[in-house]
Amino acid sequence: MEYVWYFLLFAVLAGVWFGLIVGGAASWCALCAIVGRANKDIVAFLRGELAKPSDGAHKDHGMAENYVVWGALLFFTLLEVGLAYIHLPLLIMLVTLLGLSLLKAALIIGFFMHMKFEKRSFAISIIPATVVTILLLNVIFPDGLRSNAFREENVPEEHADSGEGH
Amino acid sequence: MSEAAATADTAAAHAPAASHGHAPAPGGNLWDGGVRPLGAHSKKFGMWLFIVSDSITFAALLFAYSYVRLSNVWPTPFHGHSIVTSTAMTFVLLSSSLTMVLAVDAANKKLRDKAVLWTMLTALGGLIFVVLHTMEWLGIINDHLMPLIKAGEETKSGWTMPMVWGTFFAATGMHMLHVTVGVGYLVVLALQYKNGKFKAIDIEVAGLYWHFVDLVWMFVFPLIYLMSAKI
Repeated sequence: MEYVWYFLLFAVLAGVWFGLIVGGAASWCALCAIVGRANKDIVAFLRGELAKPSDGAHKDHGMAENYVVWGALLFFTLLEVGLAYIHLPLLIMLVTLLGLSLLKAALIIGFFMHMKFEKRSFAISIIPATVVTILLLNVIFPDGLRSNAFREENVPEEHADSGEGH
Repeated sequence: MSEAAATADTAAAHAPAASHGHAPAPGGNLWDGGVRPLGAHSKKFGMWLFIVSDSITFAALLFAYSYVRLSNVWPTPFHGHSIVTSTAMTFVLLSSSLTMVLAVDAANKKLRDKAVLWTMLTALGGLIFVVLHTMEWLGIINDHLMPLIKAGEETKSGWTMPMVWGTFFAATGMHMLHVTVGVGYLVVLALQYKNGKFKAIDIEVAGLYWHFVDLVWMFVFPLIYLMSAKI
């Protein structure tokens, strides 16, 4: 029966792996959707139409927007801290926190760092390459799970029980 | 269009490249270098390139942390006090981002004194962040929770692991280094901007750096602190 467990372990690893890739891709799409109308602009870029001057660069947008963004950032931070007080399962906690953090990152990049108001070709040059490079770092995680399977047995009982810090 | 004009170094270069109506700029289309395909000041583009490389550096640190966390039994050492302090730090940093936006806005409107004031306030926010974070660090150091501690060694707060504090100090230390450098950058910038040495674009570029430091903390704070909270 042992091979069933190996198969399940493999399935779980593969699931986590693809989940990370798909989740990452989904977050990237969300980032693109928030930061700008990327699809339309990739088409425009391929047609060579992005040479048109000031495609939204320095559009007139008021300061009021920035206060709203600031308030939203504070709100999301409070929400994250609140999650730490209600004890969620670790994985749900991780996914929620990362989701909120990506949202906050998109707000900061889009509004504070002005990416929403730059030329679309600028955003396309900078963001996708960075995101893909960072996502590729996911390759290390299956090994982390594998080594955990070895190391857990090495943790002495009394330590595993009192692992609660200060 | 001359080479110099094509790479015009002024902030006002968003204007149409030529007065030839609808036609592409002299010098040809997008691929002939006669236009500004990215529509951004060269300093701004340079800062963005730095931000790209730096974000990959921070990502590597956080991925390394996640890796050792995944492959070990991990403690939850951050109690109420740490969480309250780090939340306050987050609020200070976010608010300093807002003052940075106000500084850039004032600089673009040529309100020099106001821009200097907001930039200095941003630096003050960074300074408060560094002080709070140092206090937080000292609490941990006083408890001998250090990177080189022997695994399983007893401290005032029970057992510990070198990996926990190795990754903690690496990630938060790298971020704190960026905040400290940023505070110096902003103070020098504000003083020299007051003297007329720098322009609005320089404030904007510094703003990009500052917002990026803020952005990184938005990942360090939940992953390092909130994921290891024990309240």
